[in-house]
Amino acid sequence: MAEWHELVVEGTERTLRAFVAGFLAGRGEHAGGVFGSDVALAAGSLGERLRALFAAGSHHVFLAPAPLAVPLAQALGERGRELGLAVERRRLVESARFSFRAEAFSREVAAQIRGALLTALPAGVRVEQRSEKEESHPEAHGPEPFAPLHEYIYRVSGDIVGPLEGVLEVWQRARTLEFVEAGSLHLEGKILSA
Amino acid sequence: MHAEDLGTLLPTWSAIPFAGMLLSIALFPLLAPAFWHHHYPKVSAAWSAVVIVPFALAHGAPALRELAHVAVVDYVPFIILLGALFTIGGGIYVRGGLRGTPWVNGTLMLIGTLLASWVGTTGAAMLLVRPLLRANRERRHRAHTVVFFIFLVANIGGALTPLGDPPLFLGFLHGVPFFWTFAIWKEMLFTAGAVLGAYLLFDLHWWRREDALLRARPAGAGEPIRVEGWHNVFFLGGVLAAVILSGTVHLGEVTILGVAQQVQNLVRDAILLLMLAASWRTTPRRVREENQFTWEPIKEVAILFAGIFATIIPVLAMLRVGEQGALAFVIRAVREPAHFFWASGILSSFLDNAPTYLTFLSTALGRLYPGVTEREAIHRLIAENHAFLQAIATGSVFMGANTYIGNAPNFMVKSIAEEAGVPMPSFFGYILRYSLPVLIPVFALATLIFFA
Repeated sequence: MAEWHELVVEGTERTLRAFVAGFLAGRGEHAGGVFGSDVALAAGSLGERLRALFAAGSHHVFLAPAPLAVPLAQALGERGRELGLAVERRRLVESARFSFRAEAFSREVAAQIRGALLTALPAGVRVEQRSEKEESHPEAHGPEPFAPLHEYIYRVSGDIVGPLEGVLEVWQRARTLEFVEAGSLHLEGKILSA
Repeated sequence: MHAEDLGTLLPTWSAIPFAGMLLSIALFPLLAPAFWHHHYPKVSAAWSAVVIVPFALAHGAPALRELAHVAVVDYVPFIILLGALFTIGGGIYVRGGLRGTPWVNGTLMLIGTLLASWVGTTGAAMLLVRPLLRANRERRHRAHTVVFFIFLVANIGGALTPLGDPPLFLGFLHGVPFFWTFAIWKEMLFTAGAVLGAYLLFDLHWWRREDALLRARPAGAGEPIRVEGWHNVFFLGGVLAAVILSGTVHLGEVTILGVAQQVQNLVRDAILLLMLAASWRTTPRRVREENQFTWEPIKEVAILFAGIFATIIPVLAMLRVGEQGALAFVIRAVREPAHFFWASGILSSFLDNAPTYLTFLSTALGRLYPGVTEREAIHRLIAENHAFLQAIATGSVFMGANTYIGNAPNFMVKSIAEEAGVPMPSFFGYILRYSLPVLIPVFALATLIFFA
């Protein structure tokens, strides 16, 4: 999997989105990379949160594979200033992680969750803190008003950990599964330029 | 010694088993569902025994007479009506596929709201929840539709007749005329209209966020709508006629277990049992299987309401004697119709609404007509202070929608939806995301319009 970079850019989100769209169009590409606000990226350190609070909305994260992130950072450095955009930091993303939990009451839904989050994982992606439990109550009698009990209950929770590209793929799958609560995305890496 | 005298003798703590019984029903399904599913009959029996044994030992014959009175006048007819409606309603199955657009969903909810007063909230909810879920199977945003279905069909819609919701049938058994409930049509129209309007706004919002291909799909592509077990509508008519008959004719009186019972009530119960048996015999088994029909819900109602009716005896006796009883503080706390609307409503939100209705009906009678016999007091309440009864009836019925535990069908609908793959909100998610922003403002407006 390609190396991914995190660009923290100062400026308005709208301008940044327009700049990135124009940059991609100029390269003849339609898509590439994701914005932190689109993937529920977790807020960083306390300092970053305070800075975001006092300069609301002024810092934005764009995640992209290195072959895109490096020239984009360069272009922002050259042309961004006149649009009020400045790359504050570029970081190599070494790993990503998000927590999830799910509770479902049908075997069909449980199989979908298992397939999407536990078994068919992209290369390098693993599940940590995995807790999985199935309960079967054959004594349940269908819908009951006062003493309801599901005939089948499936509960699972854990952390999806691994390279950003693969974790992002699983995060997108989790978002499409209605019974899954997916937490914020946390990144770890090393600063390349500040 | 009369029941009225008992009410002046009983201490406040004799209400504890009633509170324990209702709290058990409210909390165990949330906190320990597997334990409750297996042991609720023992819990119900234990709370009942805590009341019945010392009550009978301390007060002898009057206590036993009270028990027999509750069994003959309230409990048995109540279970027979619910059993009949449940069996007949469970014999009707709506087949076919609708397309879950906001207007189709809104129409289904409107039909369910209108139907609930005639087949009971449980019957209407069971009849329509599966067609609603099928219609919305391919939609990504579905949970709000099921929640509003609970608001309208499983609760608010049941306000117009005593068949609609158990509290109103208990009122009928205690002397409220069958057609009196039509008097709350304005409250129901306003509340149901406001909630349905809010639903359409919600669903139009979410519909625009559905996949474009789903939104563009033409209507009428699925299996045509077909109702199986149509003939059960005839049996529902029989139930309706029997209940109205028992409230309009007088065929004399007989004594059962030392309790006077009207003959027309016995005739009503016999007709209801006949309708139940006829529905059972004439409905194909396949239709009931499609509805996942079992006797378990009626068994639960029979066992738990035995406990409720046993433990409520001291509470009602204390409330009926007004300020002479140990619950005088309750009588003094609720004075205006708006107080009754919110007090009965808040209790109905967390406890079963049928005993809540009886409790506040007795509170109103104890406050306004202490010492007067119940039937006479109810007639005077309707003639002189009908706003109190309207507030108790609407508060008990409407606010059962505030939580999953407010009314029996709420939990049934939630379970069916979850097993069909709809991620229903949690107990607190339901309250915070739907009840507080939608229902409470509507009820506040209803208070200003009707009870201020």
